[in-house]
Amino acid sequence: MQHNEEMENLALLYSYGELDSNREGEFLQHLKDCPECQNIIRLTGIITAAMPEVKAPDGLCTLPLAAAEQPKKQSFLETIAQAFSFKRLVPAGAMMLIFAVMGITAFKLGSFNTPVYDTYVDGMYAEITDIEDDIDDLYAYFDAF
Amino acid sequence: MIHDDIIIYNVKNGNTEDFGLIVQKYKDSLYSFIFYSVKDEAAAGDIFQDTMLKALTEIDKYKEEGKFKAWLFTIARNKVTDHFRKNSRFIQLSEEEDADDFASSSDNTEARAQSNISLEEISQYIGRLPKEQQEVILLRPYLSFKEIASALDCPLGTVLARMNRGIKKLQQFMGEEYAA
Repeated sequence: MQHNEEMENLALLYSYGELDSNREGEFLQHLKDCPECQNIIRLTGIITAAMPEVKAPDGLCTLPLAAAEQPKKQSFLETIAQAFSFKRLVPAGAMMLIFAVMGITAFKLGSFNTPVYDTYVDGMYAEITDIEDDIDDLYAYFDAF
Repeated sequence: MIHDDIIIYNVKNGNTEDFGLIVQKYKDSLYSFIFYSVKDEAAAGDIFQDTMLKALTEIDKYKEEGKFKAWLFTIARNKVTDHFRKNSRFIQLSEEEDADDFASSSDNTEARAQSNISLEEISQYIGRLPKEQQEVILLRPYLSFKEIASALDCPLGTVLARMNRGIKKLQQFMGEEYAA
């Protein structure tokens, strides 16, 4: 197979072990007789060997690790969203409803201006007035004698 | 070994201490890439810490798609670019500008045996490549070509082309002849 840019790309993939297995046979056949591709593989080997992995100095990871151990800071929006989450809203709503009902009931029962109480007092006054009238009638009767 | 996306999921859900696993896993490869890019130990240390801190603080921006390593190296690459921008004495060539203008005649003619090429020489030659070619060559030891394409947000073919042009240019700098 003729040397071209596609073969050079395959050479790069092959030199780093990333060539698809279904193309490997075709490429190896080409590689046997292609000095350009052999050169590419050779050069990638030189570059890789000349840049070995460098160990990170001790202490370099201290700052990132310390930052990772800090609790995650919530943004203001996240705090609001958490405060108003469904899990919290339902019991809070129920409690508010109960307190509202209790408050209204207490207000109605504890007030001295309720119509029920007024009616009761008016009734009492009416009876007392009737009794007074009866007493006045008795006095008038006895005065006649 | 726990998959990166599982670790990241835990970190996003409040277990930030799990990020330490990420730091330990990638510290050497990430530091190596940064070191070979800037060729300065102190600067490499600063950029490394900035990269890890940024990855932690912006972890919510990463969508678990099995590309965390490429995402992390993208942050490092951007930090390296920022470093060069601040230190304007470093000349960063683009592919439009050709490094041939900067190659001295003595380097082109000087013969170098394959086995004698040193780290310093390779670093020097890589530093004379256009930025796009440098990036690919420096990332390749740590990322696959597909991961590099993801990190640089370009097609795989473009990555391979840049790598190809880069190593051919390095060969010119090394003063070797194409084998006939």
